[in-house]
Amino acid sequence: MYPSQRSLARKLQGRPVTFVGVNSDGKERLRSTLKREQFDWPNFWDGGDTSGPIAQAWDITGWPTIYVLDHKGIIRFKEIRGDTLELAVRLLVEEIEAGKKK
Amino acid sequence: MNMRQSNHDRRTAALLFSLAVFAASALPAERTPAQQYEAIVGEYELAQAAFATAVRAAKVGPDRDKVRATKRPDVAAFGTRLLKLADAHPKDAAAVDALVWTANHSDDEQAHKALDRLFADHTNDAKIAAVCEPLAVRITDTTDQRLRKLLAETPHRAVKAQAAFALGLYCKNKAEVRADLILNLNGAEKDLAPVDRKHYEDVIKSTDSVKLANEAVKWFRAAATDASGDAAFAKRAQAQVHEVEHFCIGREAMEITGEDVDGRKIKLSDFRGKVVVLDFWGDW
Repeated sequence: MYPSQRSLARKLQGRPVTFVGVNSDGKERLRSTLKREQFDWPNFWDGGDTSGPIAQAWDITGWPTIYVLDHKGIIRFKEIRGDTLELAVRLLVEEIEAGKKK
Repeated sequence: MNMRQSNHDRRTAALLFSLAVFAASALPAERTPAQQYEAIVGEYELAQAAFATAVRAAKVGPDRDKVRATKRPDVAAFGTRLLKLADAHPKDAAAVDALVWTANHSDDEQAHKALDRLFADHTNDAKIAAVCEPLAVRITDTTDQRLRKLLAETPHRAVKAQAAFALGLYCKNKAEVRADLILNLNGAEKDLAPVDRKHYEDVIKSTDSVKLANEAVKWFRAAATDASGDAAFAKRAQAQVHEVEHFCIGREAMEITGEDVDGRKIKLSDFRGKVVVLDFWGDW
């Protein structure tokens, strides 16, 4: 999972897209993972376990869980990963870029 | 074989014969439509149980696959008998049972025949509620129209609640199926035949996830209100209101306010204007 997130983030560098993480680990562990994996996108620290306040508000029962939001904050896709995630992100980025051209 | 035994056999045969004559002549004529319905459904359940036993008895692998592929009871045959029963006694309560069973168990063609009759003649019957949820999952061109008709015509509050719940499911599923279609058309099914591609593109163009999700919220709220007499069902509807409101494709993502690992404040809405991959993750 980690390498694929990083490579997707790299591929889309400079385009209007970002990962936003909600992480369930302890602070030290999260800090070392971010450093080791060179994750340079924002991550919420959710209190150190899987029943943190953000995960509870979002009814998260399975980890990892992914939502893809468009530039207006609307949920457009969910529960996708790998090539499908990359495709979804590309389609939404293209929507923004097409909108700007108009 | 000695004489005594042979006499005994003859007596037994005679007894069996007279029983068979009795069964063939007396019983069927006296059976009510309800009894006939019970008999057909009972027969189906026995066949289904025998099928399950045969599957379990077969060795896992090709043997079991073969049993699964060949020994499954023929649902359509049961559906045919039940549709016939409903035809023969259209005004009897058993007709509704027979049509509901066929709508929920049989293949699309028979199910639609049964649904046509149910929604034409039996929207007043409380038992029609049982087809609502399975109907919502099917997503056909007629689902929405049928459920709205039922909602308008039923005199029963509990049926109204079921119909509204099903409309909520229908809208929610449609919003989410639309997202799947978009991904499939651009990904795994890129090489789809032009005529099919056109069909899916029309579906995508003619549906709006935001509208569908808003409608789903509205229907589940209505279901929760009308389900007041049924606490368990009201709870299910409430849970759907919450889920659809916040997590359905087409809805605005809930705001998140919090801090990163170094205590810097972040809000999800800080990233408006960009596509966001919101990833709940951990290092396990």
